[in-house]
Amino acid sequence: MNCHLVKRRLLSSSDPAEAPPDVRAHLAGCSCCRDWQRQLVQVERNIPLLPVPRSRGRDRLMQRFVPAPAQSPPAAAVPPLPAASAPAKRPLRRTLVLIRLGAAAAALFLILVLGGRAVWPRHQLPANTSGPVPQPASPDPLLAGLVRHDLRLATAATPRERLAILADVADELLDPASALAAQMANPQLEALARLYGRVIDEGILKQARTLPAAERRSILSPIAERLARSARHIDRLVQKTPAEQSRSLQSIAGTAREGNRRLYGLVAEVRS
Amino acid sequence: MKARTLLLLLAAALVGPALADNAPSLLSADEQARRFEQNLPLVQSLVEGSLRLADTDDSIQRAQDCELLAEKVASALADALEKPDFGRIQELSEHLHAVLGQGLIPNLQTARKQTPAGTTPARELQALASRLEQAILPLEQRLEKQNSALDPQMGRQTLRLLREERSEIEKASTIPGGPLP
Repeated sequence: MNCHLVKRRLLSSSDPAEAPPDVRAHLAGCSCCRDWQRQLVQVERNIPLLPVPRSRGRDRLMQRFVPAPAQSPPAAAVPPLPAASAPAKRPLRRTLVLIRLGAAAAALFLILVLGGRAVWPRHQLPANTSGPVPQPASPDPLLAGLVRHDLRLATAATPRERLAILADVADELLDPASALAAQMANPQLEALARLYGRVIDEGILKQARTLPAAERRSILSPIAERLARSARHIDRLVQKTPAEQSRSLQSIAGTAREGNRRLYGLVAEVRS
Repeated sequence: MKARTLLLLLAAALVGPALADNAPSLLSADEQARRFEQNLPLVQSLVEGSLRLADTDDSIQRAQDCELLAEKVASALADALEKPDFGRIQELSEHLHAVLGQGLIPNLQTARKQTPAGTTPARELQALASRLEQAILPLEQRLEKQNSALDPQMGRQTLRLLREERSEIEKASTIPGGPLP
């Protein structure tokens, strides 16, 4: 399942916070889609909070079927309003109309702000439009993800934290492989496979060996499972990919499987 | 009823495309592949940075690792300014600010507190700051020169942030109470 499909499934689901199992499996390994899902859930939760003007459609419909109730107070009890008081109702009606218009304007404003934040998340409109108009930025999600993980590593305090971040780095590298295997030139895929291998060998496994025995099981088992899921995911991808590119993908899947095996080996060392 | 339906339709019309536009992977596959090729050297540097950063708890070492990353991003930003590629200038400026502001400066500040004046680590901090200045100053000069060709607000903001970060780096790398070597 690729990122595009996951987003379509989330958009069409009644509750994007409760994704179906296959989508959840993708989300577990794809930080970009997780961010996207978070935004979608936020929008879904905020839309019901938008003020909506009261509708009189229901009342009008009911009036067609239900006869108007008889006037309970006798006509004589309430003196007829003087002709001059009829226009006095108008300001009240006008006020109600103004309130409804205000509510509609507020709703529109909120929608525009909400939409605008998503459309221009990090841009600001140019103050001066003279001269060449800058191209809108469409940031590379891989680059942004790797910068984010490096910054987390720059302040990570525990081996558990470092290992979790390294597993995120490994997953981040799988995203372009999953989404673009057919479009990528083989040298690029090979470079990606090498980088993935380095993150597993020189990152995850190296850090895993330094863990105290008591912590290995709880920290390493979830990471080993992530690697197993990645291997299965790439295996499925290999079947849909041209032979030339599939070699690099097979190498990635092999690295993930080997990483899984060695992590469980480290956990077993402690038991024996 | 009609108003409510209209509002919901309007919300869907605005928010749906907005979300779609914000989704980075909705770039066309060819465009993503082109991006990947363009960014591969930077991707490699970032992965190497991950491995180095995961290997140390030492704040001076972490500051040096962030410095290497900042230099790589600054060099890619200089290339983008040369073309000029506006989208890439904005993207890389944000990454550079993040690396300096959230990675390098906090580690420098921690290192400064733990480093006695006149020691080898203190000299390392000074050397780091001067290397970074050499990487950032040309960027500032180029941004000043090209300000008219860039989105003025973006150019000004990038320039202002770079100056602030350079001054923070200088402050954080100066150990008080000791003569500079």
